[in-house]
Amino acid sequence: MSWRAAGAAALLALLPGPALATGCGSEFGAADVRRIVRPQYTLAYRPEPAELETDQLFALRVVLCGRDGGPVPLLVRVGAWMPDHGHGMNYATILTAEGDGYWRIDGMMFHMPGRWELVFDVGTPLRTDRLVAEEEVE
Amino acid sequence: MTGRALARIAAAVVAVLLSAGAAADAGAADPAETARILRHGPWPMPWRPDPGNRLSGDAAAAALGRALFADPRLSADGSVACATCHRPDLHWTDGRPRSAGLAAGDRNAPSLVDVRRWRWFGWDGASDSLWAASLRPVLDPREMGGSIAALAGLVRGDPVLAGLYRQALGRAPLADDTALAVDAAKALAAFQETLASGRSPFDRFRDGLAAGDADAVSAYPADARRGLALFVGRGNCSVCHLGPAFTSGEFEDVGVGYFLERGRVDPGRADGIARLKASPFNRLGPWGDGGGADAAATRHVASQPRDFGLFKVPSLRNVARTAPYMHHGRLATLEAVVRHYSEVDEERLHPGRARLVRPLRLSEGEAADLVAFLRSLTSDER
Ligand code: HEC
Ligand code: HEC
Repeated sequence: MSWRAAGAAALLALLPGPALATGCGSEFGAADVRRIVRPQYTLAYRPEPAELETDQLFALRVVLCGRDGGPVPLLVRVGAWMPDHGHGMNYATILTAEGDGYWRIDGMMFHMPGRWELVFDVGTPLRTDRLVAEEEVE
Repeated sequence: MTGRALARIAAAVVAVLLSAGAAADAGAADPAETARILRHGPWPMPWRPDPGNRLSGDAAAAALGRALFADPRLSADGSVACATCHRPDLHWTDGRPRSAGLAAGDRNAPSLVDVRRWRWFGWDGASDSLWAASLRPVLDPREMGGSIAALAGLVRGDPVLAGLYRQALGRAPLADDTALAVDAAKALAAFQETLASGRSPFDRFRDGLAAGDADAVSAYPADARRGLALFVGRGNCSVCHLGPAFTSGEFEDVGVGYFLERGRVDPGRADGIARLKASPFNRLGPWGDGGGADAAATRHVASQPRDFGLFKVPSLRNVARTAPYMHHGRLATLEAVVRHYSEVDEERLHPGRARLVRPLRLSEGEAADLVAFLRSLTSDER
């Protein structure tokens, strides 16, 4: 390890864990976690069950981490959309706040194989930012 | 060597190459296509009893259900049984475009084979369990025109039915009408769970492909094989008719129209969700046995403007046995269904749906191949 890398590691070790964009949601497991990084915060999520299957209800575990341990926005809405077919899901999600930026989203279903966009609206009910991630099911 | 002999050798080489190509074709050379085909099996898939029905999977309850299914006394005037519209000899359909019970109905009677696997019941998904879907026709004035009290009275009063009830539930018929009628519906469900389709030529081909069994693969007729390529390929059929049961179990529009006579319309899914949510017999209500843990789909299902005129994607297993087709039974044959998908009028589709269902403009040969494929989903034993 060069002295610069060692110095960086020491510096980062001083910060609270979730402040690191790369560490956000690390408890979801390196293999299954997905992250959307914004300048002020990161959203990390994992489907449950981890293996997405067409036509099966699933849940999402979500955590929002502020930069440098800073404040995080609320999760306001979660949905999904098939851009190639112009339709969303047939099911409405229910969001449960679990505290400390953690959320559980129930009622997701990708009822058709193909490319889906997962849409997270974060902010306040009056003003939201839209975060979009892509998932593919067969 | 003469020029003619050389030409003959060249022709022989070409013939060998061509037949090798054909063999590779039959074995599905394209790995992406193979993967798409494999997702339509294996069959049968595992099945678990319905946690919302404590009689599910129970043989004694199925015996009571079998007796009720054939009994016309479930109807108001004693003339209509479940089996009137779901005839065992017609693959549990009635063979008519639209069913008629006490009065003429608007919809085609679906087959009940494999019905234990569905998430939603009815073309509009107005029921979320097989037992609730079995109570619905008893109460529908156009189907059987019965009542909770009459159904309960029949089970309580008829010695044979009461005896079967006692064997299934280990007690005398309940005094509460609704509780007893719900038990009867749950027994009807237990009976229908026994109606399951077996393996078809397609399944032997599919499993042969999975196992690398060349004999099983080559036994599949060439026209069905070409039709299958269309089904999972250019035809885009698998986006809705997906998985081993050839259905997503969800609701779509394929442009067959939802207008009835005299300006009436069939609102399909839009009405189905409303009726589901209003029903005291849904999985969120007090009559199910799952305690709500089995009710996720019912809890989350959302009504949306685009639900209007959507109908459930039917399974295609044994589809050759269930003519006529579609929710209104207006397409008499599989040839007519394939012609519909070949020529579908995009103007009649919901916006957005045009990207899923497009006129395929099939040649006559391709249309025949697609029909041959659909016929290859017919299981061996009846
Ligand atoms: C008058 C004819 C008729 C009678 C009698 C009848 N059915 Fe049906 N059945 C239908 C029709 C038509 C549908 C489609 C209904 C809809 O889409 O709302 C249907 C749908 C069903 C379904 C849902 C199937 C699916 O795949 O979604 C079940 C289960 C069912 N019937 C069971 C029964 C039982 C049990 C009885 C007797 C208690 C019965 N039916 C009596 C005509 C009938
Ligand atoms: C957008 C989803 C979708 C696509 C794509 C689709 N289907 Fe369908 N299919 C349905 C729905 C929904 C119905 C019932 C429609 C109705 O009754 O209004 C249906 C009905 C059928 C039926 C009649 C079954 C019965 O029991 O009445 C057959 C056969 C069929 N489809 C075959 C095909 C074939 C072959 C293709 C490809 C060329 C195809 N489908 C593509 C959704 C789809």
